[in-house]
Amino acid sequence: MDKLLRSNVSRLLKKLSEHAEIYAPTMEDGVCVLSKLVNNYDDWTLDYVRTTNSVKDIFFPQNEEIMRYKNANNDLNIEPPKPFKERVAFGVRPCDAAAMLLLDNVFLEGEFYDSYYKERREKGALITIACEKPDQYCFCTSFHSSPGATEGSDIVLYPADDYFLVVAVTDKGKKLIKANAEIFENATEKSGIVENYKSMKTPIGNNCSPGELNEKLKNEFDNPYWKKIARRCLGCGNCTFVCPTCHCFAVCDVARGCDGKRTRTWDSCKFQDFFLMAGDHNPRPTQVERTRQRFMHKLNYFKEKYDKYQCVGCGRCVEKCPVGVHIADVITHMKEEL
Amino acid sequence: MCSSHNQLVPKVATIKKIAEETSSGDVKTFYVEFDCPKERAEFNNMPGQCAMISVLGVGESMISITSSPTRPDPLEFSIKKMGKVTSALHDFAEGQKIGIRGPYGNNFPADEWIGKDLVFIGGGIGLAPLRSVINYCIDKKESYGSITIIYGSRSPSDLCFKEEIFENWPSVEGVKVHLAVDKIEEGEQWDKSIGFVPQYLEQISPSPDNAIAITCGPPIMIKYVLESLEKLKFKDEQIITTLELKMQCGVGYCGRCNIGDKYVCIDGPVFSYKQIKEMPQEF
Repeated sequence: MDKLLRSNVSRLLKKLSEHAEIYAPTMEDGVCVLSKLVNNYDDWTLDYVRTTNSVKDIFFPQNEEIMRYKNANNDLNIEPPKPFKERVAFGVRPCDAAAMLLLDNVFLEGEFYDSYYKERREKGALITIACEKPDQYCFCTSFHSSPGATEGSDIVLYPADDYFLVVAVTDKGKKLIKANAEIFENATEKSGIVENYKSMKTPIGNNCSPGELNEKLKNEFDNPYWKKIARRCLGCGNCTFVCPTCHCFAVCDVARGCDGKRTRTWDSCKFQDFFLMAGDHNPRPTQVERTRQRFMHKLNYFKEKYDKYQCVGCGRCVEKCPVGVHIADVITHMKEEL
Repeated sequence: MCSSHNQLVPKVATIKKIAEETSSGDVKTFYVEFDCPKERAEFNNMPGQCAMISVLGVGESMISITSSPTRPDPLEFSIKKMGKVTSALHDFAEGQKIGIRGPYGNNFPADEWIGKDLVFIGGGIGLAPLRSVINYCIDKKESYGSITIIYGSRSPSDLCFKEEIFENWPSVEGVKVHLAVDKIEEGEQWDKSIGFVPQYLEQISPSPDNAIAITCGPPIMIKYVLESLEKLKFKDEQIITTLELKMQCGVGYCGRCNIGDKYVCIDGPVFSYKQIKEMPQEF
């Protein structure tokens, strides 16, 4: 096993930046954001439970150009974007790394794949840091995960005194360590550090583990509970934007004379016009249908399609909902009621 | 110019011809050819499939391909002026460029219907997707039993594909075309039926024995046609229809067109009544 001294992290990031964009947790106006480091590779922090934005941003950004076009004199040319750069995300949490595997299901499986996402994933590496202090919003253990889980990560760093124990999870992770071997050291001491992280409980613990809830929810389309919780929903969309697994987007053309670009932007099933069709038909016209759609998607439809729940228990939507509509409560309520 | 294999980037195509279908001008058929022959060759559409049509600078819409693969070129799209993209498209002239990507979605399972009698029931612009499979089955008529086409619209001037419904289709042996309109204005010439499609269907009363009924039209018409077909003793698995929801990607990512765990863009648009009954009723 290797170890990485905390005092060597900046050196590692600087070295990796020679061929890759580096993203790390940084403090901005008192908020911890996963953002791109430019020039200052000391700018990372360990003072966070979860970054405000998830690692999703780096592979499926909030807004991106999907193509450009020029249509002068009826000669239409359409160009996809230029190739993306290599990228390393440092300080990812295990829940967010697990969420990437769910996005992989959506964007890489089936008849089609998403070219933008695929290229970024292939050119990306996730260096995860296990969680030392999960807070009251965390419930990753409800989804067969833990503060020390490795699923979805290329490398996991387990915080110890003044260093991290290093576990290379994938070949990509092993290569990254090998290519930067001079920055890592051999960890000689045998310790149960990794196991301690893996067996650590989150405060909500396993209480809201959905189990076989998806089966029961099949018959709960008209359950009055959806109406009850939808009454509080403000339709702000916070929950979907901070979610590391939500993947809905809108496509928008921006024209300027003969030139233009097509962009895609995160969108939200909580918004009134999200499902609105030309001709004004809206199959989910009120917050009741849209609230049901969000939870049924995560707890039933996604599970039917991919055999996984579309939630990793990161706690962001729980933390950010202004009116206390919590997926953990939904799971607990439905489990008790059904 | 041939472009990439990126699913969200459309291929360039040229509008070769535009035909007005209705006298009010709200439905036009666009005859379209890819600029790159290789891209045309890779566009293997089956009847019932759709394509994303781009008006660059305005946006994209999912439109059903109304031409049959048995008559491959040009590709035909019959489009009603409804929203932003379709309105912009209606202002286009022959020779102008659009973007196309696809084909998307499943298709009418016409190869499973071999040896059966087919009953097509369409309303208004809903004949556009049916037309692809009607022509497909007519071109392989020896594989099918009788073909009955029941088509209605608000008024005689709103009927689409007039040459086919009045001349081409009725002249094929074993094909019967029944036309109806909701109402006629004073002075309008009309020697066919007057009435709504579902009632007209019950009046014609096609036999469900060894038959498949395929219907497409406005949601309210589909609803009552399904009831009428049940009255005529068609079983759920003998009834095929299409669903339509808002789409922005067409490939199952953007999250708009789901009904339960199905996405209309990739799992539809064609569903049997049996499948529809098993879905959450949210469309």
